[in-house]
Amino acid sequence: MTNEVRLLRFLAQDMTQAELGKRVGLTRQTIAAIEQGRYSPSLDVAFRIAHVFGKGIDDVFHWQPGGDDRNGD
Amino acid sequence: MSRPRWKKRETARFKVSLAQDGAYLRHGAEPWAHLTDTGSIWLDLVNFLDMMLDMFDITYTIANSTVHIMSSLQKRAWLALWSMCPVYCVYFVAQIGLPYLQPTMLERIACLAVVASLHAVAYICGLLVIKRHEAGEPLLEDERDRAIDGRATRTAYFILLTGMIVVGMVMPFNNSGWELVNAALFFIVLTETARYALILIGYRQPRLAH
Repeated sequence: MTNEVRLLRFLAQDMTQAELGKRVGLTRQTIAAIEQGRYSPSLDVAFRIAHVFGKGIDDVFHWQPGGDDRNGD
Repeated sequence: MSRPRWKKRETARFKVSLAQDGAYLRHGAEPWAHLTDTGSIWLDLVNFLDMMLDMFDITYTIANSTVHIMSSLQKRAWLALWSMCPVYCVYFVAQIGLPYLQPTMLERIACLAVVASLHAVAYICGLLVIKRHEAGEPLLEDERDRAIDGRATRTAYFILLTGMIVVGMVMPFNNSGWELVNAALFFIVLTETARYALILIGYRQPRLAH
């Protein structure tokens, strides 16, 4: 699963990871992990992140068939 | 971890902020503002240097820093490992030689009490330092931390289960007294060590899903 969180943060007046984390209820470390593709968030959090940027969830997160699905992503 | 590049700047003084993504550090405008809310010794040092430079009106920028900021659970796991493993390693090694000295019950209890106290003091002191660093953090734990903790705890549970079966159901046929106590303590320490080690490994996994 890939995402556009870093780009969307940049477009949102260079929002910091801490600010985004505060708005969606995550730590900045987890936001960093999401951006780097090291963590796939829960559906609830994914919706909240998309909501912060005023986007749909599929504008923010992209699932690619055939990816590594051992961890459920 | 690559060191930040430093260069002189014309504008007024600023501060290193932790509210960043680790890819680079942002500069604040309020002097003295971040001296107590950083999450790492490295950033504390940078802010301390900044404070010193402020006094002489020397300004600079920091770019392309890849400072790794640990989560609260990660810090506590490191602390637990470092406070627990050394003292209990010494204790268990001492137990091998202790029977030859034929210590009394009171001496054995005192030995265990000293080890447990050292562990507790080291952990509490470390925890106080961590809490000081985390004073300004809005959130200390989230779903990723809970997922990593949960996985580590589930795996460690099986080690504890195995240990308790050995201590409670197998060893009593051949052993008694302090051998049982030490075996039980060994499995508890092993379980805790495994749990915290697995937490640290969890944070280094290349991919993790909720």
